[in-house]
Amino acid sequence: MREATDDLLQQGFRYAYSLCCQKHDAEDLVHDAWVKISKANKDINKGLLFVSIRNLFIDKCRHNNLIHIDVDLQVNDLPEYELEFESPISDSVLERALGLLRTSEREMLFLHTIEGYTAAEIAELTKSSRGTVLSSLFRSKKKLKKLLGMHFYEATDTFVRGEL
Amino acid sequence: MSDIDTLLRRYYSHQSLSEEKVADIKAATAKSVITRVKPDSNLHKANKSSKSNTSNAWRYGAVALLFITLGMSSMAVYKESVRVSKQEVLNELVLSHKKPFHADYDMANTDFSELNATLSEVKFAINIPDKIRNGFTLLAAHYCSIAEQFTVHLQLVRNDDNKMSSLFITSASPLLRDIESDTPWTMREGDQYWSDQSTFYALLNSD
Repeated sequence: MREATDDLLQQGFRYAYSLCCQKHDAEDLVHDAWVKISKANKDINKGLLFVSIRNLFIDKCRHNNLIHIDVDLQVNDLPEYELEFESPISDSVLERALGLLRTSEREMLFLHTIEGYTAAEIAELTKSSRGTVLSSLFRSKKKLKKLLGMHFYEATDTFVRGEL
Repeated sequence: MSDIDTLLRRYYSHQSLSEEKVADIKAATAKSVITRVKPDSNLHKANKSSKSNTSNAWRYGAVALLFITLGMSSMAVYKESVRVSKQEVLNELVLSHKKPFHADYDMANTDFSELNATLSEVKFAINIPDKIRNGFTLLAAHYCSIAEQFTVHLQLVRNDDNKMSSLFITSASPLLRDIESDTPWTMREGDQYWSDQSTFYALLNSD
């Protein structure tokens, strides 16, 4: 029971982290969501926790008058580089690349890749269509590949090889 | 599965809440639940009870109000019906007073002292007051119906001014007793209504 709770907290934290890309913010989100659900006397499950985290994230952005600025990097705008997966890619590099994705793209990538959600399930959670989810997943993976490829093959203002 | 997936899995597997943070969250949850549940459980009951009481009070109040309204309406309807009945009786008395006697049914040349013997069909006691006996002359008597009751109608002449008067005598029903007690309903000046134990009297004078 205790392990299940811990696992759920960790899953919630990772999801929150996929949304805000900030460790402290993610900790606060999962903390607030957990307490909120507990106060409501509801049985905590992953679905409920994720929904609560997501709503809190949106609320916090609104409350703080934060406009979550997504870097609008279009896939076609990025130069084509082949990413060699044999090359070592550190967490900090990946984190930087993920930070350049839209929040929704990062969220969908997390839900699909890490949590194994289907496109339909993601669509339900994010209140978008299945088609949007599928295209977003495809686009975000392609974008991520390009961003990581740039890291290795080109020094730009955003990605400076060796600095990350 | 693409290699991007592998990268992401590896990356997110490295992201985790610290043991301390997990403990903090659990403690915060336990604290919030404890501080909430204890007072809230009582509060919930109290609120429930209070709400229930309030709701019951409103319900009882509404029912009481309904009964009062119905009662008042019924009373108003009853009073109106009584008023109409009284009005009808008074109209009936006035009409009977103004109606000329028919010779076939009149018991003429009757004296007050012979009245009880003459009016053999009367089931109620007739006690003519002295002021009537002394102040009026009995011309005739006949039977009629007032308020759907068997009534004796005496035609009198007032000795003072020789004006025609009528004395109606019938058994005292609640409605008629009500007329007697309700003087405002005496429409005509000089008319008098009274009753004794079982008999109702109405004296109507001509203008």
